[in-house]
Amino acid sequence: MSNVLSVENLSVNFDISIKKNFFFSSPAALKAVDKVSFNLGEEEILGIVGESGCGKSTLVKAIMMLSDGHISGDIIINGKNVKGLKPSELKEVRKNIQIIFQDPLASLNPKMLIKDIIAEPLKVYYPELSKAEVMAKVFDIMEKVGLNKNAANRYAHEFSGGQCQRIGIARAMILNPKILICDESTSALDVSIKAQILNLLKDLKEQFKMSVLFISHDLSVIKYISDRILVFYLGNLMEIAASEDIYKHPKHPYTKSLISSIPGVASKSERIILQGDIPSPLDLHAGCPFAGRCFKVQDRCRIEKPVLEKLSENSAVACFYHD
Amino acid sequence: MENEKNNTPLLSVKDLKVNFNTLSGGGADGKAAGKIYALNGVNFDLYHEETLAIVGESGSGKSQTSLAIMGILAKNANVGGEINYHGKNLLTLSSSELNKIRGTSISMIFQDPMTSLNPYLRVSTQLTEVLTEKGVSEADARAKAIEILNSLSIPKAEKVIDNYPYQFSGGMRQRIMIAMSLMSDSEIIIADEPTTALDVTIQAQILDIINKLKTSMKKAIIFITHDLGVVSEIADKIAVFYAGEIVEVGTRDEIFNSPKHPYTIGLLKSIPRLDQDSREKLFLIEGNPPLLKSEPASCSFKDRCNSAMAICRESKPTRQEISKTHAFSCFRYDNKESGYE
Amino acid sequence: MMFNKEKINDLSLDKLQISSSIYRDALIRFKRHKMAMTSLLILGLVILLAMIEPWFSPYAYDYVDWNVAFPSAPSISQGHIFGTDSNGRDLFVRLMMGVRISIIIGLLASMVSLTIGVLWGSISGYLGGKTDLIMMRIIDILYAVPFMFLIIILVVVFGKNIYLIFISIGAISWLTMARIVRGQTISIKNKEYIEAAKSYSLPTHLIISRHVIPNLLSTVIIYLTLTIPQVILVESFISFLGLGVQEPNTSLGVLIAEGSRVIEDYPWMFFAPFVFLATILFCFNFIGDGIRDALDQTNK
Repeated sequence: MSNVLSVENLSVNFDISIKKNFFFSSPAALKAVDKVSFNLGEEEILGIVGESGCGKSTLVKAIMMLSDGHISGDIIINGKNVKGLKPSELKEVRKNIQIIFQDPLASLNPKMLIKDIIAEPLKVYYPELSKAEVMAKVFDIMEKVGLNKNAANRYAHEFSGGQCQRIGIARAMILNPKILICDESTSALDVSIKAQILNLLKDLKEQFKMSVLFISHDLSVIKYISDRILVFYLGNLMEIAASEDIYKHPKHPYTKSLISSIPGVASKSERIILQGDIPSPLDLHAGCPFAGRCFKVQDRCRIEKPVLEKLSENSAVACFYHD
Repeated sequence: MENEKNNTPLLSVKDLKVNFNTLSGGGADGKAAGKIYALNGVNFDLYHEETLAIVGESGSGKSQTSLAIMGILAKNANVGGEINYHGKNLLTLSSSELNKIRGTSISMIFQDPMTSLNPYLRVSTQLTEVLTEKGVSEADARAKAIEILNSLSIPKAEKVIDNYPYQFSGGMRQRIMIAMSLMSDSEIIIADEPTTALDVTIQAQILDIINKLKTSMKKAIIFITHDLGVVSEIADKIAVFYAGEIVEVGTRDEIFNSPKHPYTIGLLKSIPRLDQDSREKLFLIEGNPPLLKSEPASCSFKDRCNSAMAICRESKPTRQEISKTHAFSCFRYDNKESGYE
Repeated sequence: MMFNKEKINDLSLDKLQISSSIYRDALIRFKRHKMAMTSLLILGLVILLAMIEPWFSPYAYDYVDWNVAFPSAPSISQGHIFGTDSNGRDLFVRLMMGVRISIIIGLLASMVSLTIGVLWGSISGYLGGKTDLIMMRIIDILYAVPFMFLIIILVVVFGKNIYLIFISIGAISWLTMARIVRGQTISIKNKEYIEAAKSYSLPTHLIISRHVIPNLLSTVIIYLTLTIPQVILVESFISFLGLGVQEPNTSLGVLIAEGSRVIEDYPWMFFAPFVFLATILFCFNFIGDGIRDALDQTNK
């Protein structure tokens, strides 16, 4: 399986120096993503799960080349390292990587007609197309994502969240990208609508033969849609596992507690309720980022940071005392 | 069930109807002012030491129900029906009488703890306010606040009580909101999506706390959520809302193990589950909830129901009780005496 | 790219329903705003009157009627419904000229505000960083120039001239607009639809013109209705001080200045222009209120 996207040793830092006065500032950097490596295979759905502040969104922005932070490491899309590309080259790369956002309504310009929203990427990349050709393509994709033709001449606020999300999907799919990034794309939707969108994404993946990077805080959604899962905590990759294994044989203590926190999953006696809050990425010390909340913590965890240890072809874990 | 040792309901909602006057939402031509029918005859009882979970998707009227109970509906709302509490209909009370009940006998926990706490006031001020208003001394109120914060396992409560809301994390803020609702010894706590804005591991902590409220502090709780997983953790009784009506109500076991209404069944099946084979497709409820521009004359789920019959389009199903606790509104059950799965 | 040619033919766009209920709702709300609707009507009538006056009026604005007293009180039988001024010129004709000047000033200010202010603010806000810093400092510098001094100096150097007033009002009227637009732009640029546009490499000028500016419009329109009366007032004030419009041309400010000197003997010379100016200002403010109320509710 060849990789459409490889991320190697990616770190994203933000300069958060506090200006003390005009001349001096105390330099500080926030490590939002810390030395992360993973691959996305062809026609694979890779899930990224993590709680708030775990660096999911920063990662997405870095991959989309929209990040304001300082990026080190490599992002290779379709065999091309995107680092240091000129805007025109970047544009060609982006054609193959499109994104669907969390808030369906906020991701659509309220003052534009739906047909113009969906057609816009097409017009950017294929300015030579005639109006009729563009519209044909727009109607075609609208049909594929389950939108009625009548929607074309309306505005976003006239639609429900689920329909708005379909419009967002249509906009992303119209370029026929090789990689689709879904950034919490079902989190804002109701249960019955969420199921519709998840099934739609699975169908589209088959139909368009693309790879999907699906980011969510909801492990059950991630597990349902993904082939492989990455577990993030505070900018660090804690565990990689095949989707079936993560529920049956979680290796990392954080993954375990994440699963047992999902309401309705664990029985009350075996529930692990983590103590304390997710620390701010600013307060990170040496050692394992999860050490402060871990139920298996040893002295070594507070001093030394575990590296990702490869367990098999598809799995890896960053913990000294994993199962 | 022990919840029914006390057979008179604490709070009894009867045929609650809420509709909103809107500017142009209703008229087909966009000119006529229309109405949105948010609640269309909601009935339920809440007993002592019971957690009633109200489940529904957005727009199903679950939040409007709580706002109606608290008497804080938007200005353009028209309300009908009864909300009986200690022999009084809350809907007919004057605003000063309602004020007495609000915050002292019934209190509310909101979804977003950041916007529900005043960022410019110390937490101590916000917590003690409800008591000092009633003439309790500052010191007593503070002592009580610290005691409650301790019981909600907020570390170093004596110190952090004088902090401002921004100094707390999301989970801690939600605990403060819960503490606020406990300050006045209210009998009923309405929690409107209190864990939706929180991370899973923090949500587990908060749910644990809310469960303790019921058992150790003997509160009656109305828990509003869209998350069936959360419901399974917390509820004694579940009311499933759809399009401004309760389509099914029952105990937790009844709803999860033998749901009757097609909507409840579909809802339960459409959640991705960790123990499910992910090659299977999720069950789908097609379409979108209705817009409620008129008062429904037939079943409001008919257009999304895969077992809809002719009668579903003609008249409204009535409430059928199949046990003391379990009731639902659907015609399908009429023909099949033995029930269905 | 694949196309389904048959499909193109069976899609007749005209049949699809067109709706834009954001504006439809806003229009309904505006129409319900009685003060705003009345103001719109009155303002429309005043402007119409001022525009068509030269065609039906028997007098030119500088024609001196030797048949009546200097000045003469309003009288229909003499043909001067608002009387004449101290030089025997018809006051109604001169009033209408003043209204025209005020409206032109208002239009000019709104055009400058709309073009320079909106573009400046949205570019500055969207690009951010050093560009933003420099563009905003330029505004600060222009703000710091004492406006009255500037006009006095210009008048001393170039002599009294209505165009000087136009230029100086034009120069200041866009500053606040640019600042407001910049603030709005900064909040809009973090919206996900902007991010989406960046993700398919939409050129920056198109992001600004398609995605930023249309979403600023409600703010812009509201602020515009506040700017217009403001600059009308500024013009009147400058003219009142004698720095503005030159005889025999006139403006409402000049007329009020003349009238105020003789208010005890010939009150109509003061009150006629005063009432017109006040009416125009009130109308603009109420219309602004109406638009704000109409648009605000959709923004919630």
